[in-house]
Amino acid sequence: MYKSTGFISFVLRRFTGLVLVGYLFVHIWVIGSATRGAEAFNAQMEALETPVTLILEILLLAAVVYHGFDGIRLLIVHYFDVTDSRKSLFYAAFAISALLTIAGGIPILLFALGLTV
Amino acid sequence: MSEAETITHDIIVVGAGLAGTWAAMTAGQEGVADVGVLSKIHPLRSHSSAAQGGIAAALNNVRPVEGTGPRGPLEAIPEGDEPVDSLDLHMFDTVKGSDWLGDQDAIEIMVREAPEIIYTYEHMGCVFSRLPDGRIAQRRFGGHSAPRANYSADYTGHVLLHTIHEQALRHGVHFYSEWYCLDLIVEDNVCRGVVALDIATGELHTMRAKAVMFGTGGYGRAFQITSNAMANTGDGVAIAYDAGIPLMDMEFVQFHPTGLYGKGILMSEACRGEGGYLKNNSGERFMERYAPDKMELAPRDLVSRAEQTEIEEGRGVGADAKGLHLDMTHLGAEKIMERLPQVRELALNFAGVDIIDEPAPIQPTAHYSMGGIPANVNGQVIADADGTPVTGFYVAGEVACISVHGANRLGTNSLLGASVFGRRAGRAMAAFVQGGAQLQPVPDGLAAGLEKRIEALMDDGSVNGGAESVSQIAQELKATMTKNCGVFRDEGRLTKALQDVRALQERFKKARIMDKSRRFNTDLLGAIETAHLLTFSEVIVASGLARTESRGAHFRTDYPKRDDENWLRHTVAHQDDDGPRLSYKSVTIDWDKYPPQERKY
Amino acid sequence: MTSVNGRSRQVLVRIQRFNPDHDEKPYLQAFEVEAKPGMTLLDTLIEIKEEQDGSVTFRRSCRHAICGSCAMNVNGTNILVCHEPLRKHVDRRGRVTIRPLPYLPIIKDLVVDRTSFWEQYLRVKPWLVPPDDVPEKEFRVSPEEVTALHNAEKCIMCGACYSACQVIALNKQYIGPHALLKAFLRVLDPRDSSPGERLADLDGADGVFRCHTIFNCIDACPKELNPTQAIETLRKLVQKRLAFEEARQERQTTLTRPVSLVRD
Repeated sequence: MYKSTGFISFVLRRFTGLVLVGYLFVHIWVIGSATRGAEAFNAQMEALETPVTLILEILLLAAVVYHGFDGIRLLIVHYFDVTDSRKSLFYAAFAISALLTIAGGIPILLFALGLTV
Repeated sequence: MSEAETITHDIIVVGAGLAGTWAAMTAGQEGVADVGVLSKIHPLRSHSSAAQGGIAAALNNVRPVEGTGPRGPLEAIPEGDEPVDSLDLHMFDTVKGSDWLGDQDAIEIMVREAPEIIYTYEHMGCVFSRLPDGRIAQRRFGGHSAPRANYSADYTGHVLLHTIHEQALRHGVHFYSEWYCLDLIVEDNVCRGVVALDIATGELHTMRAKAVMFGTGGYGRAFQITSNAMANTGDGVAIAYDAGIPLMDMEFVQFHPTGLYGKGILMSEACRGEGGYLKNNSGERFMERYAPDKMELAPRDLVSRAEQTEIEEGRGVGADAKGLHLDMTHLGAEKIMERLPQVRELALNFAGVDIIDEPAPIQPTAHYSMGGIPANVNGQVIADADGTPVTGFYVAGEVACISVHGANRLGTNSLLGASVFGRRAGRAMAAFVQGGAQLQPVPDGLAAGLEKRIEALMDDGSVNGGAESVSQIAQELKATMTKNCGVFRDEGRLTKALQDVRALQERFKKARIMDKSRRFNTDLLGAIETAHLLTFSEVIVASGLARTESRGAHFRTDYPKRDDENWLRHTVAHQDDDGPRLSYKSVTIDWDKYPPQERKY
Repeated sequence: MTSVNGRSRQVLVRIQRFNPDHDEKPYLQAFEVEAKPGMTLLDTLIEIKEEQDGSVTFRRSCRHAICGSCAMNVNGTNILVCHEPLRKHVDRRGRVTIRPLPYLPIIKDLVVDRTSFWEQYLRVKPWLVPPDDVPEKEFRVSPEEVTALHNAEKCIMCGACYSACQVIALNKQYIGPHALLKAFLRVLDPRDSSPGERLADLDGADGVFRCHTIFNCIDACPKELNPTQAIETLRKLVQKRLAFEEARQERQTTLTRPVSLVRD
């Protein structure tokens, strides 16, 4: 494979896109339990309170945030002549995504570990 | 290896640079669509793309600003104002530049068709640099009395080649890319076709045609320091010579004054055209002593000799003091970035020098081959000094010797000559085919004969471990040609060169190649190309040895004067058993208008 | 490893070899070369071919980055080997790895089959289509209009961008950065009278919208050209095709008049 930041961003974009599509179906399926009544819904929610789901949720956050900011990066590239700063823009988008993932991931973890109400 | 089927076309062109492509396209436009163009490299890789400075034509778009002298700025000529240039002036400059060896009927045609062909290029989509009012920009160039070099930054050749290639594709020209012409089929003074190698597969093909044209370029690769691409191995001249066609004026090899030191890569004459200075190791603008009027813009042969003198008298620069300085630091970053960007990149990449801040190290480099296959003004090849035409064989471009450039070519006239005479050859071939030309029979077994030659080169067993290295032979040839047949020549050195070339030709019989595969065998190509170098180098040296005068690019230290009484004539060389057999052809001169004069700048 | 300080050192040059006639698959062959000052990668290949193994096969001609023959993949990046110093590409272990351009069929060693490359070039109709009304002299094109074209005109069709493109790797139907840059050159040239047809052709499934702005083409281009920006510009023009066509027709009515008059 040809090494470049452009390639990495492309692969991550595709991958997170797939993750998001996959999540959409999972989400609908989970929420759809409400059509079977309140008890079914509550049971479903409880079943999902596992450490694995927790990690997946943080990863989901990462995917959403990365896909979103890379999308913004793409819009900037489409509308402005910024190809000279293409690498910096990628690093910036990646850095913001990482920061936001950490910023959002920490409360989730703390909540899960019972350290907040 | 079995022989592939014979291919036939109405016209076959060998070489896809400017000359070949113009010819093929023009033939198509005239109604002969069955044209095949062979090129040993992809057409867009042709050496025409390396030309930098410009293409000459007396368009009269610019003039020097009044009162600023011959090195001052240029301005657009307002509509209706006096022109500063004319066809006559372009003609005179070219005739004088050729040291009166150029055939004036050919020169007259070239300068006359020049403006129209530039406009044709422009209408075809060439991106020229422009004046503020939208006209094509022109610059000064060595040997030209008026600014008539029409340019596209400093990659004019690249722009012209891509444009003409695209137009040829638009007109449906068929290109055989990476097909190498090995042999010209001529019998009873009639050209019948060629034998070519499909490089990718290694298959040989006999190709028959009613008319064949060579646009195969020059032969600078016979020298160590050259601006020429590695593909410029004079295949066309060698193949034609071996087939019994004579060569003309081979001794006239132009050494361009500003090749990058140590590498020979071209630093365009436009550097000097835009105002650059040549300096020796004491920072002196030495051209003052050699051409006080034109200075750095004297013609190339003169400047190269000046440089060589400075070097030989110990005023050179560089590690072995064989270089000089091309100083453009006073031109300013803006002008350099706008007009000389490629030259700047070359100096940065290959010499580690930014010409905005420092002078570039340069030395004379083998650049253009004025000599070649003789032809008339329609590109038809002639078989002897009397001008007997060869039926069905044409040439144009650097491989041709018509002779427009005579003993020395002016810069920007080469792109012009290739375009004008390529087009004329195309028309001539179309007329010949439409006039009822027929395919002529070719002898049997041509491909088989070449097959044997190829197998012999691969046959290590036949030399019992005493195989010669092709590259070693090539290096030694280039060394002796550069040393003994270079800017300055004399009887002693030329004789030595001739002995060396003949010895190398003997040794080449034992040359063997390592690559035994028939698929894309560049080792084989290298060997055949070296054989070609050996073939025509002998002609260069023999012609130079015989010419006991100095004219244009051929300078004899033992005969430093021009001798019009004995030597105002072209050298014609035929292949014979014991070397080239020389005869002489007269030069076409308009004795009233452009009689020979002293050539001073 | 000893650092570079002006003296020669031994470099291991690994070249990818493959002759489909007798090799099952490509393999790397190592050659030891003494790196001399000023030696380019092309000089290195030539030296190996002349002195060590004559069957090493590669394309080359001008050796000063104008013919476009010698694009290859060195240490994972596409470059023109004739103008790249050997020293710059030696890794910390003293090695240089030279492979042919990726994603294209290999004919032999470092020589690849560029048929798809040239097909796409032809497909965008690289020739100018001038207006019917051709003046006696030149068309009047302003210096600014020429400046907009100069970069695209510099393209030497070396293939470095095409073969670095991730989209090309997956889909040979994509027109490709080289041809799109050429199309850009023709679309923007005021003398071209068919911008509408060109833009319509580029609007298709394999045209300007296939580019994923991965930017490998810019990284690879030895002439520092910008195919991505050209493609972005074409995208905007494709969306405003009719207006652009009209503007072009308007401009062509003034092509025979001096530029400064037009501006007034």
